[in-house]
Parts: sequence; structure tokens; C-alpha cells
Amino acid sequence: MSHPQPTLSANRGAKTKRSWVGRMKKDRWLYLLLLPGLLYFLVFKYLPMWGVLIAFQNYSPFLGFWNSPWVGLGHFQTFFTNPDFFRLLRNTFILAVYDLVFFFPAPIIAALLLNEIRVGIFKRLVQTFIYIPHFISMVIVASMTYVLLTTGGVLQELIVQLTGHRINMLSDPDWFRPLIILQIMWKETGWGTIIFLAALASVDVEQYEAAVVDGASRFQRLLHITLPAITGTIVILLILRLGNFLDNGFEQIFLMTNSLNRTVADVFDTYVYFVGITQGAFSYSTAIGLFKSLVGIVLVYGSNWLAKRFGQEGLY
Amino acid sequence: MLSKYDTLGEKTFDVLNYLVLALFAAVTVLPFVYIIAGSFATEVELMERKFFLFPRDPSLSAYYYIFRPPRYFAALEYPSSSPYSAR
Repeated sequence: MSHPQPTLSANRGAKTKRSWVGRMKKDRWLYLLLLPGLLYFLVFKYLPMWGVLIAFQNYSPFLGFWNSPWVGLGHFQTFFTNPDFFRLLRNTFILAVYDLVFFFPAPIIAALLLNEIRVGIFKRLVQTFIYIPHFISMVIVASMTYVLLTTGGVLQELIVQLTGHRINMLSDPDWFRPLIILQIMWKETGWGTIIFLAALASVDVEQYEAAVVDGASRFQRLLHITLPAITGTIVILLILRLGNFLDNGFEQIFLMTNSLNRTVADVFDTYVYFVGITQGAFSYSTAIGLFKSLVGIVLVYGSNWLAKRFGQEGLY
Repeated sequence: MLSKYDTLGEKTFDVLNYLVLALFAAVTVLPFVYIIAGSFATEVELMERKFFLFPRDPSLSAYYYIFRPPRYFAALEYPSSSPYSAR
């Protein structure tokens, strides 16, 4: 959207050397097409961004944005010296790492497995089935988890019969993180395969045929043709994911939190809600949000730089 | 499904692959079927039977219950005053 067909204007520019005003006039319709997109980002993304200034104020809704007193980095100081800080950071970080280690590879593996299926109808059927959970809201997923895992719930009873132990996963702090990761895997793995399957669809079939002639086994074909074909996609998705590294998905954590697993369930996202919205500490929670975004920016730039060092394309 | 040029390992992989993906598809779909079937079942049946995909005697009583005024429509009109609003 932000690139208004550079080839078009480049061709015209080659014919007659124009000033940039002339070029803009020439391509005015393309720039007009660009305008709604630009306006969207200005109005809904860049304008509200000034709101982060209240992280450096003692914002009060009664004094407003202009009259609230400035406090500099005071809120950041309170946050970093807060005894809760390390617990929150730990919980957020562990969940984020679990997400990256267990959930991130799941769609890749699922796509690779689906790619090996040769019976078209079976492949399409599985695809349709595994896409379904993406379309339901996290609230439904959470309530289904509660229905299946409470005492007397189908899964709870199944586990009792299989293992002989009664584990209450919903209130056991040790089971909170696996449960969150399992939920997100259940919900989003299928949907995540789409982008990889699209990348795989563009692989030239001749490469496989040539590999077969050369005597490559299926595993070798997977390793040397299929996997390289999606490496670029994997790297880009990984960089994008790192930008939201400290986002654990507020809704899901909020819905799965109860008084028994709070020690491991409190993360930055829910803390911002409890402190910021329910207790009205707007500036303080904005400071926490800003801290999260800063970590995200550092990770995106860092991983992009690293990806380029390793010869991958990266984001920009 | 299986090509005769495949080695034994590749055939084993194929079989396992179909099983794993079928299991994955079942795991994503079955909870839905259970919830939907449960919504059409009677309260008694839901208590009695551990797991089912088709209710024994289908009933719409659960739907009568949620769509009976004022419950559902009150929640639409006054989100803040509904019994289900956030803490």
C-alpha cells in the first residue's frame, strides 16, 4: 500500500526528466489511491501515539492532557522498583518463551506434514477442520476449557481414568502455562499453516522431480527443497512475532486467571488492566505499556539485523 | 495413497502422518460437536452421559432458557448492568 507502483513512475521518469511535482502530477491517481491508507495510519496510529506522553505525567482526567503535571521518569522508577516487577517480568517472559518454543514451530510442522499428504480430499478435510477454532473468540475457548476440565468434565475424567490421578488443571499453578500454550496451539496452529502452505505452493514441482531422479529420499527432499522454500517466511514471521514478544494476549490470560493460579498468571498485560483501568492509574499503566513497546522495538531491530547477518532477507 | 517406490521408512511415515493429522483434526472438531450436541441435550442427559456426539432426546430447552426475555435482550441493551459484565 505504501509503495505506489514504483515501476510505473520509474518508466516515465526515464523518458523525460521531471521534477518531483511533475511526477506527482503525472501519477496523481496512484497517490490518490495511497491517500486513504496514509490517512488511516495518521489518524488511528500516529495521532493516538502522542497519548504515550501521559506516561511522563501525573495524568488526571479532570486536568486533561495539557494541564496534568509532568513527573519525568517517575512512573518508570516506581515500576522498576516495585516488588511485583520481577514476578511480572518472570511470568511474562516465561510465557513468551514457551509461546516461541512450543507454539511458533507448530504451524510450520503442521504445514510440512500437510504438504506430504497426497490424497487431496483428506488434506482439504483436515485443513477445513483445523481452521475452525481460529474463528471463535477466546471467551468461548476459555469456557470450553472450563467445561471440559472441571471436576466431572470429559477431559478431567479421561485423565483420571488414564493416569489414576486427579489433577485440577484449572487451579493448579503448575498447569497454568501449559494450559495457555495448549489453548493457543489448539486455536491458531491450523490458521498459521495457511501462510506456509501458500509459500509451499509456489515451489517448482520440477525441483522435486529432479531430486527424485537424483535419488533423493523424501526426507532429503523435505530438508533440501521444502524447508528452504519457507525459510524466508519463517524468518519474517519470527521477526514480526518478536515485536509483540511481551504481549501474552490479555484476553486469554485474563479469562484463565483465578485466585489460585494468580502467582504465575499475572503478566504485564493483565497488570496494566488491573492497575490502569480498574484502579485508574492511567499514567503508570501507560509507562508499563511503553516499556513493553520499547522491548518490542529493540527485539524487532535486533532480530532483523541478525537475520540479515545470516543472509536472510529480513523485514526492511 | 502409497507409492510402491517408497521405502519402508517412508511408508511408516505416511501412515503415522495420516494418523497424526487425523487426530489433530479430531481434536479441533470434537469439542465443538460435543458443545453443540450438549446445547441440544437435556440437563439430565448432560449429567448422565460422559461424552456424546448426538443427544439421545434432543431438546431446545437450553435455547428457550437463554432467549427468554429479559435475559438475552437485557444483556444486549444494557451491557453494564447484565449479570455477565466484567468484574
